[in-house]
Amino acid sequence: MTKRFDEEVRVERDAGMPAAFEWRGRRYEVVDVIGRWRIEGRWWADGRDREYWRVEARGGAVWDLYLDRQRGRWHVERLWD
Amino acid sequence: MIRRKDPDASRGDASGSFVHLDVRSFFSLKEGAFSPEALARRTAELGMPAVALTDRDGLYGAVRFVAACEREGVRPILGATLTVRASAPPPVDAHVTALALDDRGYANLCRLVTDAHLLGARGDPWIATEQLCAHAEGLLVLLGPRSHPGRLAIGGRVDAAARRAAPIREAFGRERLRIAVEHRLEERSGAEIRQMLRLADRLDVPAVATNPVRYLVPEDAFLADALACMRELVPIAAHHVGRRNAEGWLKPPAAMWALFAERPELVEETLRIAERCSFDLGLGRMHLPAFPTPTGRSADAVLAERCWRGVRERGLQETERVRARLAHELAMIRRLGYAAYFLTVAEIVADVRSMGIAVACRGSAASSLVCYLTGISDVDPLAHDLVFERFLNPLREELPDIDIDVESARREDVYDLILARHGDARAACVAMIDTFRARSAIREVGKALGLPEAEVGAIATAFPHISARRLREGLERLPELRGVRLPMPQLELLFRVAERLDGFPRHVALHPCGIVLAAHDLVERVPLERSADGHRMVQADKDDVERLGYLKLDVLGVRMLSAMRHALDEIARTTGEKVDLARIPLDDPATFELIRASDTLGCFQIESPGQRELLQKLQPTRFEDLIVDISLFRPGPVKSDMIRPYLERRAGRERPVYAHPDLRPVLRETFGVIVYHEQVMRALATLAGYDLSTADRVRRHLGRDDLRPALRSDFLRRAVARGVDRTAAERTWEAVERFASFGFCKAHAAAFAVPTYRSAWLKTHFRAHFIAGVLTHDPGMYPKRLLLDDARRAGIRILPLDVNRSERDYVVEEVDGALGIRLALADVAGISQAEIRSILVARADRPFSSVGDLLRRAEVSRPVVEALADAGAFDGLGGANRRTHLYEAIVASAPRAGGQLAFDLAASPPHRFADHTDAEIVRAELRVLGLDATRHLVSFFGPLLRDLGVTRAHELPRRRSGDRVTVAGVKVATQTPAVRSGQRIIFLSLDDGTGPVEVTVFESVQPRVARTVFHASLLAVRGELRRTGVRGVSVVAEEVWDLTALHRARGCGRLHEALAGRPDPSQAEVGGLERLARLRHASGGSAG
Repeated sequence: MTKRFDEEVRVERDAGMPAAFEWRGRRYEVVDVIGRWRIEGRWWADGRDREYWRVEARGGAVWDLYLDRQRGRWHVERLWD
Repeated sequence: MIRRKDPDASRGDASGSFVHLDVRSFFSLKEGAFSPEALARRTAELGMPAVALTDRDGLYGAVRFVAACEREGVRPILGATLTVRASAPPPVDAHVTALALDDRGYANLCRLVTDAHLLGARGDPWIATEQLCAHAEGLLVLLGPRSHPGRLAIGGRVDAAARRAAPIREAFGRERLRIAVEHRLEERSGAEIRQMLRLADRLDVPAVATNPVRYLVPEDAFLADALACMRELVPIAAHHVGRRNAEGWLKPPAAMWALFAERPELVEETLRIAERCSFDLGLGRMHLPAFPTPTGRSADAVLAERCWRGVRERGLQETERVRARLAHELAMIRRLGYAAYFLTVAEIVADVRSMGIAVACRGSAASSLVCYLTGISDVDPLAHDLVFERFLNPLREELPDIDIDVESARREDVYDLILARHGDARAACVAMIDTFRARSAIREVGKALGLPEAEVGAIATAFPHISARRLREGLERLPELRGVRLPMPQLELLFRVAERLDGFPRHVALHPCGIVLAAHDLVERVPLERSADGHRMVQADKDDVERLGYLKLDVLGVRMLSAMRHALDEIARTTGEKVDLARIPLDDPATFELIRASDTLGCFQIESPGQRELLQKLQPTRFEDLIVDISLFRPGPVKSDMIRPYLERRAGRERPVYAHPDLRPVLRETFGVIVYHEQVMRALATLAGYDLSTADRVRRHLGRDDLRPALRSDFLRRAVARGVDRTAAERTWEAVERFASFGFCKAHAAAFAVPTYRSAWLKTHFRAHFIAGVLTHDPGMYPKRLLLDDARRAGIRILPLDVNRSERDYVVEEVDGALGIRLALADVAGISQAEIRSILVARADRPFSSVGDLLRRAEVSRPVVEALADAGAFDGLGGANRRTHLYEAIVASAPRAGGQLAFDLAASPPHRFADHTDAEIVRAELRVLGLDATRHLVSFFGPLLRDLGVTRAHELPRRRSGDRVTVAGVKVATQTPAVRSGQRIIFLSLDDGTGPVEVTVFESVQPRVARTVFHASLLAVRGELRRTGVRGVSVVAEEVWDLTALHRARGCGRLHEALAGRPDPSQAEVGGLERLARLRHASGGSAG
């Protein structure tokens, strides 16, 4: 099952890709990038431009992170148990 | 495949090149967001060697794309995205992309696109898989995620997908089928790619990397959304927008390599495919029409024979001049290979004539003796000294094109004839790409953004007809937009999208006149589709057709030809006389008398106030004078001061001047003034020794700033070398150069002078019939009421509308030994052709005896019967008056019940109605017919005109030049032609029932009076009388008033205040629109 959030996180990048992120006071190290996609649009309303990363953190949990490219902020959106 | 690779990387192992194979331009209507030219440019900028254009079900962009690629040094790959409709479930449309490998492939592509359009319903092109497979040769097919097999594969049903693809696999083989794999950077992209690759494996065909390119840069993705919503007619919203991100752009090679880093062979495959697509559209190569000739005989021989026969038919003397000219033209035609074209056009013209449709040739083709002898043109080029090279010569870059005019009312018949005659698709209509302009862009984008229609409409109409690119400019200059009640961000959004749509195609329509004449292989180089009215049409506009090397024929519908045809029919019907306009004398004194008197209302080309003024000054006495007149009355000659010297010299007040004595023969006919293109050519040829082809090229390049200096020095050098005095040569060059852009093609003017003369001849000898024709087909600039006045003044009675006598059109009737014109049913407001037919058919049994009788026997709607009664069409029945008829019409119009008219229950009115007053009669006529038939409008203002001391039109010629006069009348025309000084002059024509009054409004008074001049329909003018010719007068306006406002003011005793420009305080609050509305209302008979 998955858990959904929409909280800001601090992400460390390596060669453009997330290498680690810090969430709720805990640091997670990225061991693999599983997927990456983009969402852009809704320019007629709020407008959004997000770069999604599905990563595997050390320990086996899979996380969806996204970078809000308009504001330059990282968010965690989903945890795949 | 994405792990540890940055897809956006423009570095790393992403090396090498890439070719985009799935690209839709704005010719995929309301989908692609860029032009073919921008695509070629961007491809070159990104250093890609080739690019494909694969628009939806069309090759509209092919020519522009290929031409642009040639400019940019990019190799064009031509293809199309074909809509394939499944017969088996799921019954949904899917897309495959087909690329042309060679000539055969392109021919098949054109055939497939043509079939998609012609076999189904218009606007819903599709093919079946079987059709695709039947035309496989030379095509390479891409099956992507939006194909039927692709969708099945993505859904996890790879087996079903492979089965679905089997026929295609078989038809195209391993060599010419590819599975297109996209990496759109969506959440499910990875899975999709894996399934597509499995399908490729299953089919044992290679896969290839593609990106669905719909915009060139990611920032333009918003345009794709707007276009999609405009296409689907839905307001823009997340659930209506198909795309999830902005990845559908023309990505550079590095980005594509990065996306497919784990499968580089997919990327490399694009380069291999590009290598294999070797098809060349071959722009600029001629494709001559086919004309079947007897075996063993060339088109040249047949044409020569046809011309010699023409010499006898036209009654020409076989002089040396004729022989030499004909030999010269035929040699040139043979050299350029155009014989089949001339034969084809001659055949078409003959066909049109044999259908009894008037046809005339216009343009430079009239310079050709071959055109004259083959019946294409009716102008003898030798008689008018026309130069063949102006029409055709080896140095011309463009292909020759012949324009023919036909009766406007029969234009469709002519199209049908041509297309049927060339039923094997040798001929087709030319398309016209209608593009977005400011107004249309605002309307459609506004709708897509879901903005309130009224507000959007108000914004759109506030804009002048400008291109969408200039929207913001317009915005700054339009104060009325400040009142628009839309929040700024929404307006900003509207304009942001709308201005980008500049030049985007909106829809593909039929070109109003072009027809391609080609050989049988037309459909192998251009797809065909059907126009809205069912004509076969190429997917190419007129420029494309020319660049594809096809010759075309322009067929224009001309109302005057229909008007003259109607006149001839009426003459034959009423007098039994069959007039053949081709055989009337061209030197009829009575006709020239009419022309000199400028009694030319309704005549072709010479009816405008400015033209009539010129006729007064020019006083034509022969056909050649009409050619000069038509050539002079244009902005160019006026600006370049050609008119005055010409007129002065013609009148003998000035002596002709020639820059060099050798120019005398060239310019003698126009007293030393250069009027015609032909004279420019001859002047250059005479002094510099050019042949006429070279002289024509110099003439055409005179307007080019980059070429002119070299042309000048070449001309001077040659002229001086031939012994011409340098000053004379320089003076000649100056005259020629100044003339460059203003001259007129004499052949064109000569061709136009024919219908001009014929219309004047008809008006001279058969005025009633001619005016009936003009009223019916409405070819001119004046409202019908003025033509009625013209007839009335000549003693022709205007006979009222009558249900038992009026025909569909205006007809001539003899009443008490005098001719009259009977008003037409077709002009009754709201009447349909079917209703007219119904009236005529029912009447053929026996005349109508009452309103009820007509209602019983004819199918006519209630408002139309009311309109008929209102306009007096039942007055001829006798007995009851108009009000009674109107009452009957209204009462009777209750719905029919069980075939029985409710009318019968209310047979007669409760009491006798009062008669209509004169004012009511005219008001009804204006309402129903749009014209005042029984009484002139101005006649209602008698007392006011007396108070104003108005001079009537027929009294004006007796007044002196310089007199102060006041005139009044109905505004019939305003013109603002360009004039020499550059200031704007308004020519205004008034009609007061005794004749036309010409008024000139100079710029100095325009700030004060222009509003009234343009917005009021009844005017009074005070000014100074000026003589403009032997008989002509015009009034130079000093003050202009709205006649109805004066009338109102007079009614409340405030006439003097109104004349002094002090408005009636009670009117002060009325807005412009409302005033107009009131005025229209009042004009029916405010004095009544």
